[in-house]
Amino acid sequence: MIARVPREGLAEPRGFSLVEVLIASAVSCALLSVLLQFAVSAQTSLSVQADVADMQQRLRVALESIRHDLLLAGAGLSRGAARGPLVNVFAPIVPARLGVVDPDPELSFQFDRITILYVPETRAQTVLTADMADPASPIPIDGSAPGCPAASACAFAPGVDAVIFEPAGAGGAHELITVLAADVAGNTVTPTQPLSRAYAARSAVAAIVQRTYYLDRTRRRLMVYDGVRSDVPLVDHVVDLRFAYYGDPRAEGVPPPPAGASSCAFAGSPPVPLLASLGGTAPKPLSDSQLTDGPVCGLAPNRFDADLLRIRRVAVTIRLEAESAEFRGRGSAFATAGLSRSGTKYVPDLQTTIQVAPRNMNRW
Amino acid sequence: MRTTVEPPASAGFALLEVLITAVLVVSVAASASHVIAITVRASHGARVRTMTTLLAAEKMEQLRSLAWTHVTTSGPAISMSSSDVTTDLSRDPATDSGPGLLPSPAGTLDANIADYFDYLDAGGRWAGRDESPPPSSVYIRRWAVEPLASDPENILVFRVIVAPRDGGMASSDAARLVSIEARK
Repeated sequence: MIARVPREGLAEPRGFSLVEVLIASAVSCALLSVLLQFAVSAQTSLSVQADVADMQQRLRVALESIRHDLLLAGAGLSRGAARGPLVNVFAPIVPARLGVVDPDPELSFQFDRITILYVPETRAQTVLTADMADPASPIPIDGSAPGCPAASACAFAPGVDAVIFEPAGAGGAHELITVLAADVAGNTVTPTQPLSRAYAARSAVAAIVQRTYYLDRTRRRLMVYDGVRSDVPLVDHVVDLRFAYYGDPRAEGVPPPPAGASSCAFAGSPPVPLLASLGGTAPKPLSDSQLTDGPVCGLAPNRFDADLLRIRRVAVTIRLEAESAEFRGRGSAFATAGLSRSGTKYVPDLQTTIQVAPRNMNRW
Repeated sequence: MRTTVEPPASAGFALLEVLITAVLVVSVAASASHVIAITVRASHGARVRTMTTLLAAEKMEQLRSLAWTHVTTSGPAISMSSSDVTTDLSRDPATDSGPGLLPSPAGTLDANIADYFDYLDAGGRWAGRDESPPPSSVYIRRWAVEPLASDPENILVFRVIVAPRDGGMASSDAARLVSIEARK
């Protein structure tokens, strides 16, 4: 037999009254509603901020990469008899894609492409010790030129990309090569392809950095091409890229030829400039026609317009879009229409212009 | 005979308990929203500082693109300095009616002095150079050109300040750049 004994001091068990349940339900619903709205807006806000931060980061990467190469554009040999900026011989900034794969035609202008060339200070650089026998023959180099490591063919090695060019005042002939083999004992360098011409003694040969930045409009990518093998995307979701050029307006604002020589930008003795004066002294915008209509410098297949030598400043305009279509809407703020219909899920395209004065373009 | 003790009665939440819980949850949510607001402000601040830095660098590059060189001729052999003393960088595009790289007057970084300041809009585009700020202007930019005391003929010091117009030059979002240019 079991007897029930109530616990002393405890209330009798009881359920909720209807009023209590209703009030608790109402409070809970209100609370959950607020929490839900907060969670949704917080999640949206954080997603938008993440996309904005990502866009700013991509912008910094793109601009800093282009800016770095533009600052160095035109840096030439730093040692030996051939030292001096590249602008003394050829144009180190070209508004087109140059290189082995799918190059633009000579003397062309593409507003969304730029090729930049410079010689890294610490890499191989020397001169030819003798005339080349023919365009396909090995290149005889001075392996003991200043800065060349001993018994190394001046640090040239298979796979090194290099530029070869004649001395200033010899016509501006130049071309890019890739080293197939370097003969340390004989101090010769053999390129992968025969050259376009035989270069004379005292021509310079040096390791080179070539970068072509261009916009792949189909895939909306900023691409960078090294002129030989590597053609890779640098930044995604780039919807516009434009380069503008500002030049020294003075007709004599390009490197003069050496004593007794002439150049594509000067004629006669004493040398008289051939370029048109643009008036005043402030750097003037250079149009696409000014940069392609001559005077023509260099030799085929690497001819260029003499006005490229007067470039003093480059303006780079880049426009990026949010990665997620969820945050892109419609209208002029978006190059690519997206799905957003809400003011909170709204990340307009980011467009910025920078200007860079290449440090080696106004010294000779 | 066995004796059992009745288990404690399972009472529900009292209204007071529900309200206290609600207050606590709302407090946590408010704190979280405050953190999110800080994140949003930080992101906006980063963007403003990025923009002011880019705009300061832009003016610096414009200054550096002006002629400040030695011109050498081979026949006859002459070397002479060449300086831009006419470009007006306070307009876009620059004109030929300004001071170029002549030394700037005193105080160009502290006040709006003609030829040494301009206004820019939210996207960084040039908006004007008049004393009264244009409605579209968001940033103000000032600069100075000073010869280096130890070699005033050959070395210039460029200083550029960019700040949000409503924050003043003392704003934490202001960007200040200094660069030196030597004749080449």
